[in-house]
Amino acid sequence: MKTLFLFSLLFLISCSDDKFTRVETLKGFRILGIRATAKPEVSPLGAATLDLFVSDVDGGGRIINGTYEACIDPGISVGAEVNCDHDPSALTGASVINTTIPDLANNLFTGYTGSVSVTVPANIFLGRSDREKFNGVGYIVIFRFDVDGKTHTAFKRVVATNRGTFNSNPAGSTVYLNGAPLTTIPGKDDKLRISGTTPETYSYQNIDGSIETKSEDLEVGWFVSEGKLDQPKADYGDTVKYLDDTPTNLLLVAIVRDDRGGVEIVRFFQ
Amino acid sequence: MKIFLLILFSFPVFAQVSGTLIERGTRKILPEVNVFLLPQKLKATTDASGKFSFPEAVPGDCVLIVNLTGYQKYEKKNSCAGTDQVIYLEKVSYTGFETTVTGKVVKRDDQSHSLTQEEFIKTPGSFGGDPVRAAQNLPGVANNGANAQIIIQGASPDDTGYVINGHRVPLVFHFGGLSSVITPNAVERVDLLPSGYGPEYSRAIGGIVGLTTKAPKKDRFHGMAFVDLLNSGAMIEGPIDDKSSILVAGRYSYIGQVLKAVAKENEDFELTAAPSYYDFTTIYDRKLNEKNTLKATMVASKDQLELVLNKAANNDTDLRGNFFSSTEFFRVIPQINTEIDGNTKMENSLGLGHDSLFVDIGGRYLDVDSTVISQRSEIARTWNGKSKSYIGLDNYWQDSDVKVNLPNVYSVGGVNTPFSVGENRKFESKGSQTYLGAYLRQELKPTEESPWTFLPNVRVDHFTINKDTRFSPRFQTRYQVDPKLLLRGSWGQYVQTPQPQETSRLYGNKNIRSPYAWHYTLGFTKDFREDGSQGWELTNNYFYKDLKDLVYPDFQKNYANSGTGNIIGGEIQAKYRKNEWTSQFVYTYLKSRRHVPGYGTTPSEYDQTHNLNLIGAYNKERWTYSARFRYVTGNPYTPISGATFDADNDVYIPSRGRIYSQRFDSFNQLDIRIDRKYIFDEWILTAYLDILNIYNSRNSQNFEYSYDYTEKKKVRGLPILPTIGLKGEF
Repeated sequence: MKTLFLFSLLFLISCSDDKFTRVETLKGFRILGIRATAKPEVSPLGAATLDLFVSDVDGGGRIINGTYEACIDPGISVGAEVNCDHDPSALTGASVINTTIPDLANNLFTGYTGSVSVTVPANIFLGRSDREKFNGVGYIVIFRFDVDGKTHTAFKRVVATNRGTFNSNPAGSTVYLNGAPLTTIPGKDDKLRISGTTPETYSYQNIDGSIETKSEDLEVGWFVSEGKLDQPKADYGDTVKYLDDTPTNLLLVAIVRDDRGGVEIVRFFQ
Repeated sequence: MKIFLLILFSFPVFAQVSGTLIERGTRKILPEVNVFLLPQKLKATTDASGKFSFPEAVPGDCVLIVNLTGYQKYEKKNSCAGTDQVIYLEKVSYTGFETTVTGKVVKRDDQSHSLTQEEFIKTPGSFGGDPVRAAQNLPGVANNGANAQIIIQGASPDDTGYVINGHRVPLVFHFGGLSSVITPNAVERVDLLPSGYGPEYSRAIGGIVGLTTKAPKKDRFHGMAFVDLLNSGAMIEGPIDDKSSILVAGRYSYIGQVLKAVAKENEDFELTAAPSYYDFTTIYDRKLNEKNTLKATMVASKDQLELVLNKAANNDTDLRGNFFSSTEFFRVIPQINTEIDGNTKMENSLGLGHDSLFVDIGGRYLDVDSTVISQRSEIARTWNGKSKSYIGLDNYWQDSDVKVNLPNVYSVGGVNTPFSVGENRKFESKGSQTYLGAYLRQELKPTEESPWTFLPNVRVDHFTINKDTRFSPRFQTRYQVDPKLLLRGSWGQYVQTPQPQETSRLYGNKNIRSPYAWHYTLGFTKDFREDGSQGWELTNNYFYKDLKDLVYPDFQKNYANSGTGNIIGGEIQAKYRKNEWTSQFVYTYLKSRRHVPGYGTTPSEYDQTHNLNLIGAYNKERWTYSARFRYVTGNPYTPISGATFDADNDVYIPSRGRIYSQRFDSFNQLDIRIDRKYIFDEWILTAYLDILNIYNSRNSQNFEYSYDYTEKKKVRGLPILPTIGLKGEF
C-alpha cells in the first residue's frame, strides 16, 4: 500500500523535458512499428510475415543490413530481458531495409520494408497453462540494425493461441484535419483526428479463470517530421493539436495499435 | 461604645492587598513564588493556585515586586489598594509551544531515539514542528527527498513499521512527506526504534516509527490555531469535568491550490481537482477510578489527488488520461491503564479502524478496503529491585476487499518495465489476515546495586498470510558504569510478513517465507553535563543487520525468497546546550548491501554512506533562530545501458546496467527557521519563517529519460521553499 501510494506521487513530478528529442519528432533512423500479416495471432505452426515500418528522414535513401532473432517469449511482460538467450531453438536470419524503393523514397524515406517471415514452433504451448494457451503465448522476433553508429533494436510478438478466432489488424482508418480528410499540411492549432476502424471484441481469460469479453482499446501514436503535437500518444478518435506554424513540407504518420498486436499505419506526406 | 471606638482606631487600617500570579501568555499558575511589598518589607508566597495575600498591608505608596529566576522582574507602584489583582509575569525566554508541558521521555529501549513535543516543535526543517519530519534528523534515518516513507539504517522502505499508540497504521505522512497525519500539538512524542529493539514490536525488520498521543490537559481550556502557506489547523483541549478531559485537533492542507497554479503553466497535466489532505484527531482521557485510566484516541486522515495526464507519463502509452488517487484511514484506539498494585501495572488497548486505497489510472485501478482490528495487552510486574517482567500480546486482524485491474510492473534495481508492457491482472479477492504475537520481556539485575542489567526477551509470531510461526529471541544488556555513562548491547531476530501481492494465490507464491533479520548493536551514552542541563550529551551506536529470505520477483515463481543482505554502520549523536544555544551533531556511516540472484552483490537503493546533520538554535528573548544543514552521500542508481522498442506497445523497454553501480551527486541542503513571539497577557502569537534549501542546492535523486532512453537529465529535488505562518495559542 505504501509503495503504491508513492507510485501515485511520481505523476506529479514526471513532466517531460522540452530539451529532449520529442517522441513524435521524426529525425534520423527509427523503427516506428511492425505489422504482422496476415494476422498477428496464429495457431502453433502458424506463419506470419513481419513488415517493418521505418523512418529514415535524413538517410537520403539507403540499404541497411540487419539481423533478426526469433524465439519463444522469455516472459517480457513479467520482467525478462528482451533476448533469446534462454531458447536453444532460437532462429536467426537477415533483415534488409531498403529506403530507396519508390514507396519510401517518395515519402521522406518512410514506409514498410525489411520483411521477415517466421513460423511459430509446434512446442510453443509446452508446459503452458490452459489460460496461457487461451490468451496466447508470444513468439518474439527481435530486429537489430546498426545505423549511423547506433544500434536500433525492436521486437514484435506473434501470438500463438488456441482461442480459435484470431486477431486482425485494424483497417479503414482516415486522418482528418479540422473535421475534413487530411489533404493539406496542418498549421498552428489545427486539429487532427483519426477514425474509421471498428474495435474487435474478443474473449480473455482472467487469472481467476473467468472468461471476459473485451473490446479492443485502440491507441494512436502520432509522428511528424516538422513541428510538435500536444498529444503524440492518444486514444483512437481523440483530437490532437498541431502546435506550430505550417511547415513547407510535412510527413505525418499515425500508427493505430489495438493493444494485442494488431497495427494499422496511415501516412501523409506533402 | 466609646471604648469600642477607641479600640477600633487604635489599630492600623489594613489595605488587603491580594492577587494571583500567572505566567504571561501561557496563563500558567505560578505557585510557591515570593511576592514582596515595599517599603513595608512584607513578603507573601503564592499558594498552589498562584494566589497571594498581604493582609497586614497598610494603605499608602508601595511597590509590589516579584523577582523570579527565568522571568522578567515585576515591579509596580501604587498597588497597595488592589485586591484580587492579576499579575502576569513575563518569562525572559519563550520556546516552542509554550502552553505545552512535556515530560521527560521514559525510554524502555536504550537503542531507541525519542523526541518530545518540546524538541520536535523547535526543529528547523520540520515545517513548523512536524514530529515525523523532525525524526528524520535522528541518527540512522536516511534522507529520502520528498518521499513520504521513512528509511531506517539502509533498509527498504517497506521494512519500516508505523504505529500510533502502539497500533499499526498504514502511514504516518501525508503525501509528499510534508507533514504527519496527526497535528503536532496532539503528539506527546515520536519514537524511532531502529535496531535491536525490544520484543514489544515485530513485523518490521528495518525499524519502527511510533507516535504517542498526549493526554489532554485538565487545568483549563487551551487552544491553538495556525495558518501558513501550506496548511492551517486548530486544536482545543481542556477538562470536561474533574475526571475527564478532551482534545480535538484538525488540519487541512491547501497545497493543492498551489500545485494547481503551477499546473496551469504545464502542458503535461491538468489538475481537475486540487490535491488535498486533511486529518482529524480526538483524544479523550478519563480517570475511571483509583486504579483505572482510560485514554481514547481517534485519528482520521485522508489524501486525495485527481488530475488528467495530457501526455503519456514517461512516454508510456498506458500512463495517461485520468488519474485519481485517494488514501484514507481512521483508527479508534481506546487504552485502559490499570494500576493493579504498587508493583503491577496492566495496559490494554484496541485499534479499530478502516484503511482505504483507491488508485485509478486511465480506467485501470487498484481498490483496497480493509477493516482492521488490533489488540495489545501488557502486564508489567516489578518483583523486587532486581527483577521486572513484562508479558504482552500484540495481535492484528485485517479483513480486506481487493479489486485489481492493473498490469504487473517488474522492478529490479529501481528500473521498471513500462506499465504498458506488463501483463494485465484483473481480479477481485476477499480475505482476512491474522497476525498473532506474544512476548516476554525480563529485566534482571544480579543485585540491586549491580551496574549490570540483562534483558532476555522472546517473542513468538504467527502469520496466517503464509502460515508461518516464528520464535524470535532478543537479548539486551546494559552496564551503568556511573550515573552518567551507560554501555549497552543487543542481539535479536526480527521478522516481518511478506507483502500481500507476494503471497497472492493468483500472482504471488504461496510458499513465500517471512523475511527476517538478525540485529546486533553496541553503544554507549555519556552525559557530560555538569548541572544536568548545560553541556554535552553523547550517544554512540554501532549496528549490524543480517537480512535473510528477502523477497524478489522471479520469472518462474512470480516471487521467491532469493535475496539476502547485510547492513553495517555506526552513528553518533552529540547534543550541546549552553545558555541560549542548543546544537546537535548527528552522523551516520553505513554500508547496506543486497545479494540479488542474477545480479550479484550490490549496494542497496538506500546505501547512504555518509549522513550528516548539523542542527543549531539560538534563543534570545522573543526570537528563536535555528538552522539545519544536511550532507548525505548520493543514492546508488542503476544505469540504463540501452533500450529495445516494443513494437506492440509503442514503448521502449530499458535494459539495466549493473545494478546500483553508480551514484547520484551528494545531497546538501541548509534550512533555516526564524520564530518571533508576541506575548500578550493571556495568549501568545508566533510568526515564523521557515526556509527549506535556502541556497537552492541543485540536489537530484532521480533521472528523467527521453522516450528511447538515449538522453537523460537529472531531476532536481526540492528548490528553495519558504513558508511563512502565524500561530496563536492560549
